[in-house]
Amino acid sequence: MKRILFAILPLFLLVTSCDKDDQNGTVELHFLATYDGAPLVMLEPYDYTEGISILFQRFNFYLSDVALLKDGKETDVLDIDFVEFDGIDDANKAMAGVALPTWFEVPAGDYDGIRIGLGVPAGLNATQASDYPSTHPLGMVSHYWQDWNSYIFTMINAKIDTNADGLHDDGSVLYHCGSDEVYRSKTVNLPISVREGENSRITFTVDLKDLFKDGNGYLDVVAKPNTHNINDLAVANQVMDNFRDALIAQE
Amino acid sequence: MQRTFYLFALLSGLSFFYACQDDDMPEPPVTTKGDLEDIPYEPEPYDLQVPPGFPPLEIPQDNPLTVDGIELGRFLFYDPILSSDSTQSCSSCHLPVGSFTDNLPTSPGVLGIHGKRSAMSLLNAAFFTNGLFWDGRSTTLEAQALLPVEDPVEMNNTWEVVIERLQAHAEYPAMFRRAFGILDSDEISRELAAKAIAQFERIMVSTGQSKYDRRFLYLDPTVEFTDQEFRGFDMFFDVADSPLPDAQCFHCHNAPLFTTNGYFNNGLQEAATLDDFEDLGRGAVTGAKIDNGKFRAPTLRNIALTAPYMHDGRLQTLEEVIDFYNEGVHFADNLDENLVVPLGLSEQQKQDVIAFLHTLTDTSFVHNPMLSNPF
Repeated sequence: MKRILFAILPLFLLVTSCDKDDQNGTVELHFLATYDGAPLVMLEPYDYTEGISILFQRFNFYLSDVALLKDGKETDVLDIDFVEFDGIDDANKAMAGVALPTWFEVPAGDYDGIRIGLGVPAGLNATQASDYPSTHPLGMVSHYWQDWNSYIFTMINAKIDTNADGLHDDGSVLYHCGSDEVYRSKTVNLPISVREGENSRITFTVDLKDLFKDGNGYLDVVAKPNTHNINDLAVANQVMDNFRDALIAQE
Repeated sequence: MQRTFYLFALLSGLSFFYACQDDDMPEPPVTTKGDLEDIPYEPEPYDLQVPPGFPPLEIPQDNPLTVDGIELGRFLFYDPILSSDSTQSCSSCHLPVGSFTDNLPTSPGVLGIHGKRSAMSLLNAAFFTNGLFWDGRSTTLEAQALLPVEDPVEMNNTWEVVIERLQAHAEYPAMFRRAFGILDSDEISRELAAKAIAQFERIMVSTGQSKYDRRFLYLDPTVEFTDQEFRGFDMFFDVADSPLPDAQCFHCHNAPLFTTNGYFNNGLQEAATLDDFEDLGRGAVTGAKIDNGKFRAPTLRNIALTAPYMHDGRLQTLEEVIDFYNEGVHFADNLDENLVVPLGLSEQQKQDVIAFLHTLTDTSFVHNPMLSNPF
């Protein structure tokens, strides 16, 4: 009898452990960026406001504290990662978008929403790039501003043409948004179904032009070309508010 | 005749038997002893000291730092045995006095032909985690160390020749044994040579004795910056609420390494379109037009020791460099966006930035005996 039990036990453990794995699925986070409805391509000129053409070179941001929501409970997905569109140099790449390389394992089930953070949460923002290996999203020295004691949460770099000569050499737009004050969190009510052993892709879309909204118009990028002063966060706060509001999630 | 038949049958049977045995039996133990086995292999880990505030060292698991590995790498680095005519070593283009540059615009190889780019400083190469060379074509120090030997404008040799020389050398086989535990000279390989050179290059780390490091990393209260150095600091890092202009330096040369390890078009080359750069730089590696004309941002640590400047060494002095960024940048669609508008620095402000750059000089590094020529 004991022999039979010993023979059955490993089989039982194997089956139950397989069962546990099968109860999980994965979530993939995918991002699309547009500008005024068109695919966002770096070094392509776009109309900004009357008489101003804009050409983007960088659009990137930290994504943090991602959780799936269900009946008021949270399932953690991601602590921190970095999303960049800087290498998108043609429309096909733009339409394909950017997907985080990791698929995050979560319990299978029907969720009713997702929460994401835009930027680096205060706890992590108290660290600095040299605390991390280069492979870590927070290890990028290009995105740590010492004078601010903060990471650059969102970086939008562009050049503008204001004299219609076709050259975007009339000024730069350097919207670097950082510091705890500009961190934003967004909760989206969205049915998200994660099936056992399957991957669910959640796509976030943002129209970059919306990040420049200012009332009924758009920010004056000639008068206010950068957000480099940590003591003057008005534009940075506005850009991050716009970012939070512009972000659309869908499964 | 019958006797011959039986003998033939016996031999055939024996052949069959032994042939079957060969398939089924393990190889007989090697009885030949390696020519290096009597030399002890006792690897001693090397504890590399890094200044505070530096990022964590990323050392490949298959090439840990050891005392003997570094020593072998030091000999190989300084030994002209690597070049075809035994006249040039790695140190021919990377001399300690120039913070491991040769202070030339471009360097002549063994054939007298100059490469098209300047020798980069190896200071803090252990932290170059986003590609090596001006265009980032090698991803690791180990991979980088393989290339100059066979480059016709550098050492113009083959690794086969180098390995033959090393195997026949009076000292190197024992050094490879002590560094990597090989049993026989036959096991000396280009990969092991590159690993040793990489180990040596990996210890070329700042000593933390520059004025900047003592003031800001070690917080040494006895080290005072002058007013001019502080003004340069403010402009270099675009300190908030400073009345001084942003010199736009730190975006590509951020502390603590004074490089972000990124690739940028800094406006050095004039080009009508992105296809027209004389040297495509990073774009030739990635194949992306958006990367054409971009080059690695070098470290500014020890920048005062590494003239001439830029990827082709066209600028002779730091004054010329600041003048170039102040008013000489060529526009292109992928020109770094921080450099579009002229900096507008006054003569005094330019001198202030240069004064700050001099605080990054680490003479203890260039005089470090661990990094000196062993011959």
